[in-house]
Amino acid sequence: MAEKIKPPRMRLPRKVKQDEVFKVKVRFDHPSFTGLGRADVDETKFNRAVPSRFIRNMLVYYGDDLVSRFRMSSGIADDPLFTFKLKAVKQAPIKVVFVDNEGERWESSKDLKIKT
Amino acid sequence: MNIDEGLSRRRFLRYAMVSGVAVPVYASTVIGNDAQASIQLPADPDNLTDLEKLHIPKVTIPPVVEDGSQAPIVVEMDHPMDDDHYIKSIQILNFDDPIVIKGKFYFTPVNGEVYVGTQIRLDGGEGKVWVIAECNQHGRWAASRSVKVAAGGC
Repeated sequence: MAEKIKPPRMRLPRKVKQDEVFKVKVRFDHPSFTGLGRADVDETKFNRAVPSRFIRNMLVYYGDDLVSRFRMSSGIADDPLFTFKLKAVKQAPIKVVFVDNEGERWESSKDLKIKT
Repeated sequence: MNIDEGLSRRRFLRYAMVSGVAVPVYASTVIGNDAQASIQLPADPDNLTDLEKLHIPKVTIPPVVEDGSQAPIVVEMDHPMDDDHYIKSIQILNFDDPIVIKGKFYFTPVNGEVYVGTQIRLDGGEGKVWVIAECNQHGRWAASRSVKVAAGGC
């Protein structure tokens, strides 16, 4: 039986100032196979050897708004760490949703706290 | 405008067709330099104009990658992220790999700054990683970095 994939882990700063731009780091332990292989070492062209498996989409929600989207191929590494920035425009949860090429879905959410 | 001297026209068009950039590049090379329809490259990489400084993506990738299955890449830009002027997307490609398109990151003004870091798979040998940034007002801009990969990761 295939190993169960755990939900992504997200890291946010503990507290940010209003309108501060901060980094979000998301680690997702998901396998990525291009499914390509060479029949022998001397061969120059790749063939489809096994079915591919990879993360297709990462959706970033800030409150109820979809603020970023990353559409990927099997050219993204195994267990990738994604880093991107957001502007602290409101106190609201940040949610990342991952969907892979088989349609499976995982998500993780954290509350963003703004210093008053 | 020449995209890459090391890349044949036929090969570039074949891959560009797949990635959806063929029409804009063809338009820029044949028709002219319409900002919305073409991919723009710096005329002189050592002396960037103000517009180029704002729109050419800064790509950080090690020049030599030991393990092609985990090549770290960071793309950042100094471009403003205002409601009426912002970067819509960043696309990462390598025309030398069997998987040409690595991914496309879509931004909104709520991102505040253009910054994306991830890890990509690269095939062994020498190659060039391309990043195409799309501004909502000034069209598409490209930057590239040469990279040598010791052990291919595709």
